[in-house]
Amino acid sequence: MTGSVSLIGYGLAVLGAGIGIGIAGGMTTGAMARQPEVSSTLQTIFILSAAFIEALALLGFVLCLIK
Amino acid sequence: MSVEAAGLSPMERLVPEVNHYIKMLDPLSVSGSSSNPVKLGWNELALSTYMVFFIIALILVVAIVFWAKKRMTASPVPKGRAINAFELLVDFVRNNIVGGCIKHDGEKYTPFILTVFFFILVSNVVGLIPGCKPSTGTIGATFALAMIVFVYFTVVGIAKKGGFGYIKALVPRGLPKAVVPLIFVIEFASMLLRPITLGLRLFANMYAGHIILGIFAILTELFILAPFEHQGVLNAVVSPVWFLLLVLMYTLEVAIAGIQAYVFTLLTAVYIDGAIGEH
Repeated sequence: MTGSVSLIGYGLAVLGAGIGIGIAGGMTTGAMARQPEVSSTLQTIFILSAAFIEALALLGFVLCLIK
Repeated sequence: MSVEAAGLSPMERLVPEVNHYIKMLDPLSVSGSSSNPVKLGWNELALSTYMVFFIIALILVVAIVFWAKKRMTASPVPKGRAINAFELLVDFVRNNIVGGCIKHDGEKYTPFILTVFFFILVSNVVGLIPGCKPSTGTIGATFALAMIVFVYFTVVGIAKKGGFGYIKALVPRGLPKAVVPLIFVIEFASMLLRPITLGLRLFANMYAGHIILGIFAILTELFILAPFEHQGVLNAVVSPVWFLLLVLMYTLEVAIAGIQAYVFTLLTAVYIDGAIGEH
């Protein structure tokens, strides 16, 4: 097997982040469809949650590059 | 034409180039100081490129704030797009972040929060200019900022509640006595973890973004130069795809620069509110 094992670690790390942000986006869209007048509040909260979850995924990306 | 005479394909040359690029992003790689380093005890004092950009961001923030002050005191209603954009940012931080998070006495902490926001925003945006690096792209700078925030909200909390009162306020009231030591340990550990996660989040976003931009730029260059290395003209035809991806990632990076400054500032406000909140 050739290649670097750290890529497997990165793939595992980003798996949870992808699912998490996907769920957050889906729920935000559903809530915006039910109540369009709170749309801007929901958008702020979604961007905030996505930034938190993405931080963990990017941490995995960075740590895999360190040799 | 045999494969050995043609050399490596662009994709095969990608990995050494990317490794070389990542090594250039190492904060310990100083420029031109190994000939005459300044000794400080047993360490060497040298200026890395990240420190230079940190100083540039600092000078820019001070210049922008003093220019804004001059424009705002010159007339009660400032005219012009730049000063209104500056006011927009200040009002955004004051109303949404400080007003939304800190329940009492928000005005006392607004200058610090504004400073943090503008410094991180300017530092991230400077990193977007081709050839410049974001000074928050190194763990030293972001960890220093996070430690400053940690010391600030701890001092603010101790000043408001007293040393022992602050420690007691870590545990919410109304818990059964048996659970209190466990909850105290958990809360204390999570409080100590705050500066680490704060600095690490900002660093990881800026560092990874810069590396992704570098990878796409290197891919574009390797694919465009491939016909000159006798790899086939088809590679040069494909290279605009990589350039399009580079432009898309650049757009994402502009958004991430603003969003990460917002997230850092929001968390600062939340921690300050947690430190001064009612027991």
